[in-house]
Amino acid sequence: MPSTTKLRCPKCGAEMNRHAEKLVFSDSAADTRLIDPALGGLIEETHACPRCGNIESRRI
Amino acid sequence: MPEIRPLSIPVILGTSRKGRLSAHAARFVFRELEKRDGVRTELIDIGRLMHQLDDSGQGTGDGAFAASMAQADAIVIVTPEYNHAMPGLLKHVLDSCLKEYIHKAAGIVAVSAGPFGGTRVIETSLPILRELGLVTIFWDVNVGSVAKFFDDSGNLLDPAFVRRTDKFLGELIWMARTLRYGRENIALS
Repeated sequence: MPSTTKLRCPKCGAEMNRHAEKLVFSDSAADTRLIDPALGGLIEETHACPRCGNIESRRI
Repeated sequence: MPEIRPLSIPVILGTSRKGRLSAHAARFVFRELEKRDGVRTELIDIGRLMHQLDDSGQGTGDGAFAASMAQADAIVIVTPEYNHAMPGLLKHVLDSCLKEYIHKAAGIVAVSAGPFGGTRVIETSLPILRELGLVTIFWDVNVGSVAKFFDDSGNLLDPAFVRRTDKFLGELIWMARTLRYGRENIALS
């Protein structure tokens, strides 16, 4: 389920734009608990700042 | 659409091999990018990065490389063809980032000593770049028989290379602008 909380840019404070959900296939033990069995991987959201261009991501 | 910030388009020299002729192609493309208004570029030599060889994947690479990728709007990858693919070190370096690439443009300059101009390395690189979240453009630059393209000092011998590079960069910059707008303004529904 996509996160509903908007990210604030840690560099300039502007509200960031959630523009992508990337399916990540990881073999790291730390990631296995996040794997969505229906998708076969875990989702990493990517956010971009319209003011300064900074990018952030979070796994959901 | 006003461009407040210049586009950042680094050129990645994708081999550390001694005597690499790909360096001539990378420097040429770098200089051509420097001529473009509204574009900031740098030449990244993977042979000079700090590589972590006892680990791999996202977040394990050179911090300066990751910072450059985070700032980038597009990247140019200059790669030789090693056994039909990109050098293993280049793949290792590219694998060290992920969020830094998402919805950014990528173009390939392929270099080979033989007559096929690196066509095989382009074909085998496309699915890798796609999985990294990059958006590949439909223009490539093929440098076949590279020893005939540049003299020993790196001076260009084939003027056709200038026009092909110009078309390649034009498309890359268009895609970089478009994707920046999308990243920063169009929300995923």
